[in-house]
Amino acid sequence: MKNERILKASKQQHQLSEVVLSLKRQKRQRYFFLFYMALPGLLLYTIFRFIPTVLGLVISLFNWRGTSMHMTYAGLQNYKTLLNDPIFWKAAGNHLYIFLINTAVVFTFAILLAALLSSKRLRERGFYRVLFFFPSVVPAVIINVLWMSVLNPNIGLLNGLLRLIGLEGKSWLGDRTLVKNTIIFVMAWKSTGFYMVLFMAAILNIPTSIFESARIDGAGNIRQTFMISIPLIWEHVRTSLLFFIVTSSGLGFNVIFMMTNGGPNRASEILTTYMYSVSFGGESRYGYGSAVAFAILVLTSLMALLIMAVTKREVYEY
Amino acid sequence: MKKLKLKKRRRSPRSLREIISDILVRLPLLFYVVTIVIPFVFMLMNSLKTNKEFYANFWNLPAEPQWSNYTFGLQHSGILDMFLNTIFIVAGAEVLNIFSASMLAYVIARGKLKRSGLLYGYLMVGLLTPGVICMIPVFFVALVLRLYDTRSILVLVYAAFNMAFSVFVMVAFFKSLPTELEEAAFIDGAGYSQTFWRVMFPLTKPGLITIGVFGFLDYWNDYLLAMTLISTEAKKTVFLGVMKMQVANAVRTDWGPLMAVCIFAMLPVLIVYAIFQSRLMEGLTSGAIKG
Repeated sequence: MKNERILKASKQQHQLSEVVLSLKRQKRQRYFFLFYMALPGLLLYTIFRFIPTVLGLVISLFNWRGTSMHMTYAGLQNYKTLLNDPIFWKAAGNHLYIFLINTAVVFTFAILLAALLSSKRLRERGFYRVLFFFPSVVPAVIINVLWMSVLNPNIGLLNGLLRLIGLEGKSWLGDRTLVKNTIIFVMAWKSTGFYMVLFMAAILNIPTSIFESARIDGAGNIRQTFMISIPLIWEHVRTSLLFFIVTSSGLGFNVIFMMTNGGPNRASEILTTYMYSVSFGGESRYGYGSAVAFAILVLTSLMALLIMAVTKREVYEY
Repeated sequence: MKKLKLKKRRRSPRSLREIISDILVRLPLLFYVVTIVIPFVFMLMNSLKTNKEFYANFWNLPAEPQWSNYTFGLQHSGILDMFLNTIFIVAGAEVLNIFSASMLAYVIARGKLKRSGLLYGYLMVGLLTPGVICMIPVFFVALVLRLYDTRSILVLVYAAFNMAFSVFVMVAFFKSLPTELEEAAFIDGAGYSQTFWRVMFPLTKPGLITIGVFGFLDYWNDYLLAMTLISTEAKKTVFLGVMKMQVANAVRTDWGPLMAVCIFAMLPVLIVYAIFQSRLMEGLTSGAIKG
């Protein structure tokens, strides 16, 4: 009797420990599974994206010619040179001008176009949507060839048209006062459609009942756009602004590097093209280039903070 | 029949004011349309002209389409080999990015880890810092790993640069799938990896297409990274070749073949855009609306 009970209890205990064991095994299996699932992505991201972001700071403290792995420690020398470099300051000024104006232009037009195209009266809006989005997928090199041929002072399409209506053609990319605005135009031409599509979706996502009750209250289309559509998508606009400021410096580099390479006489030099020209562009001052890269990061963050502060509004829920 | 009648009645005759406002609204739209369409038409036209015609009058149609511009451009610039290079590099980056990003996203979305927010924030760095500032360090890493001037470095770097974005899209996607699916798979005796590969992964096809299309456009259109990481002619990507022709064009002008090569290099983008444009915009906007 007693023996039997002991036997039973030990059996139960045995089963229990087996359950615990199998749970433990399962847990181990689960961690192993999660580990090997996360590993490839994390490794790639860490080695080729995260480490480089941090490494830039380290390289900026060295002098490095790029031909071998030989580096000499320079402390803050590169940053001191940077602060006394008139070209750097000029490039920083151009950088601010081009990106702030470009952001304003892109977002103004994207929002207005989105509001316009969300109106049901435009029956061909699908066509506009597909066409306006298109420039944002066109390769930067093609954009360069395309606009170089349109803007060419002698044989370009634009000056030809201007001459046809009796105006004088201009050197769009060769004139120091014009070049920055020409570049802003090309960049805005490429980016606007992308954000327009984003905002259009956001506006179409607003419940129609809100618009209907506004219409009953006597609000016209324009009033509805400024009082309802734009305030209600404002948070999307701000998120997109942040994304745009971060990504547009890459686009800016592509456009300016190919179309003017910072010229004429550095009138369109921005920090990214300057970073390239002091490092890969022949001077081989990679340490100094990294200091410029750090300045790009600082300036981009400052622009982001500024724009976020300026655009802060009350958030409307719907 | 009844429906048709109803529809017809609803469209009231338009007043003059409405017609004028319709036209006025379309004017700025038309301007934007023109700035997009005309340059491309110009490019297409000039790809079929002789140099003489090009200088004589740029908006005349070519007297006789010079298809030889295409054959000449493709044969004499090495563009075809570069085109093939690009195809291999893009395909490699696509596979690497799609698989590793969706695996990582699954861990973040469904791994039930206590610190998955930390992982998320770690990836956020890749979205909130401009990629351009990594140019010099990536060059350094490529030298250290002895991968500088190889096609594999481009595959790795492309996949890595798009990792954060792809993971974010996929995390949102995995979170939208019901948990019952996984539980059912477990009850049926599937292990962890079986559940993922057999049940969850196939279900995310729309998400995979989204990150695939965005990735394709990024990798194919890239110029910056290819320029910094590749120096040998035989390993160059297609746009490095186009750019070289464009630079040479400043000295020895040959517009026809240059335009022809441009159109050729852009063709894959056009095809992908034509097929996937609705998916592209959907992917974009679904992410936007979820925040």
